[in-house]
Amino acid sequence: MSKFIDKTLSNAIGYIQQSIYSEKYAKRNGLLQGIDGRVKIIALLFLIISAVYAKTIDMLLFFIVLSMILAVASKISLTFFIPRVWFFVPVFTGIIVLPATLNVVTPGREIFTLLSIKSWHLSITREGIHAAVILVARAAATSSFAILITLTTRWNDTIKAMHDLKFPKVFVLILSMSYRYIFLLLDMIKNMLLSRKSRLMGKEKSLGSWKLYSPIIASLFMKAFSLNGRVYHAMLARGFGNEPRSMKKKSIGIKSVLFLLLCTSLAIAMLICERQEVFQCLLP
Amino acid sequence: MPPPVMELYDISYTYPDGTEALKNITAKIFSGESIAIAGPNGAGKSTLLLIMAGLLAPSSGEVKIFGRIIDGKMINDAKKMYEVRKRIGIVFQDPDVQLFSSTVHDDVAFGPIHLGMNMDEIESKVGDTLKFLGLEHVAEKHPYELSGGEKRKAAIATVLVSSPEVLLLDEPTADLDPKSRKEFVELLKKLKEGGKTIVIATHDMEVLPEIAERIIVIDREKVTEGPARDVLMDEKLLDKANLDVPVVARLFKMLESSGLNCDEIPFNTDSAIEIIKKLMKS
Repeated sequence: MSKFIDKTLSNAIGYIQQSIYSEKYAKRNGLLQGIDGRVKIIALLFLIISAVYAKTIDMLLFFIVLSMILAVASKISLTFFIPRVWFFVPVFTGIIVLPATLNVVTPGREIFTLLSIKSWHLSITREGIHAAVILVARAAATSSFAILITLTTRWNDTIKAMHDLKFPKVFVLILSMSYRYIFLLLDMIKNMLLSRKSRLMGKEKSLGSWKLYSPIIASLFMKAFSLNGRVYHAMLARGFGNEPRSMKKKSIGIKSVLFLLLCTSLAIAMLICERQEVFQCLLP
Repeated sequence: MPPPVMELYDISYTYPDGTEALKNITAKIFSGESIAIAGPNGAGKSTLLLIMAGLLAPSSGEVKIFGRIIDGKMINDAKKMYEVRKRIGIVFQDPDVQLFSSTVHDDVAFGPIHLGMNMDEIESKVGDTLKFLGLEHVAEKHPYELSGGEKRKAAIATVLVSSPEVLLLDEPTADLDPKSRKEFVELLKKLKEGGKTIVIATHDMEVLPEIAERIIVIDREKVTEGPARDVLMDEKLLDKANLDVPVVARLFKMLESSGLNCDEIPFNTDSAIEIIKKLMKS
């Protein structure tokens, strides 16, 4: 059991450090990386809203393909991007949506019977599958755009963009400081685990190992609490008056303006098409 | 005598858990001097620096900063403390406490932004400070990516950028390698020449003679206070406070007791070399 926890924690720490800290894709010279952070958030938010309102599979497929084109244009390999989107979406949304495929939830034309007791039967319906596919595709399309924002924007630029877009100041400050200190606290956990491991002799019993983790958690809380007080003093000493301030806004380039216009018009056009049910007629 | 920038009268501080960190300390820091607060671990040096920076109010006693009495109510009032925050800079012992923004540039800019400087002035000051400390190449880096020495320099940059008159440094040489330590001592000398008042809390007795003119030794309460040379020569007193005479001085004292005739005891290797050269010539 202890091996299981150790490995889970180490892998979780490694994953967070790799995915957030490396900013590997955000540093590349691609399409989305060259777009202003504020514009990127607004533009992709429009596409996300448009995808949320999409009712047809064709339209959702269009959004998914569009996200892939944007990924390639931003020098993100599809072998990295697709599993990142499609690993979590089917796992979480797929599980939630499974009951919707059944005739007891979504009545319709039955295509496969799972269970039959006398006159009552439990089956998968065509309408149920359609509803499930729509939901999974919608989740995939929206999360693709959200993932594109996080992959192509350095965290610091995201924070600045949020500040400029008038997200609540305290929320932005908390996010920014969480990003700063998550690594320090992760390092602390890693070192505490290593120190524990170095003093461990023989095989641990499951219950014993669980008991040993509770002081580590308590110690981490105490360290984080003490750090919090000292950081507040450091901020206070440099003029912080409980109200965060930041540097002036950068001007937005022509490339970003064009990208914003293109995405918003596309999103609005898609919404209009969907509403008028013309979109399907336009597709071959 | 220059005017005092800080005056502490009979101050004591007890932590909420009942631990007495400081007891009846009286001291004055004068403008332009470099002073060390020496003491063993747990002597209350960091707490004393927080009180001197106007970040912590003493449990009893009176604190005057730039002639103004500082009390517990004022400490969290940004307007009332503006002058103190602008004129005093404190560098914490742990650079991870000091560097809380997501890039070095933003961290250095934090003070000027919150002290209300205009944006052009901020950019120019941040650039100049990073250049002065040789940190331009790490400006856009996350503080987590810096080495120990770079972190320490960046922590100093976050304070120097606001050009404070008084610099309070808590164990500044604690995690520095010998080269960075030497560079750091040179930096402090430069700052001192520039007229800054420097207060260093440390138990690193090797670095003290290089930068401090005066030393206050504390171990919860004041043990002694005096010119650096006098304090560093008092082996018994330093021993009582769990501190040590610098290695070079100890060596020369031993040689002196074995018959070596030298005019003065050196406290660092450079002066020791000079004395040895003189002795060899004679």
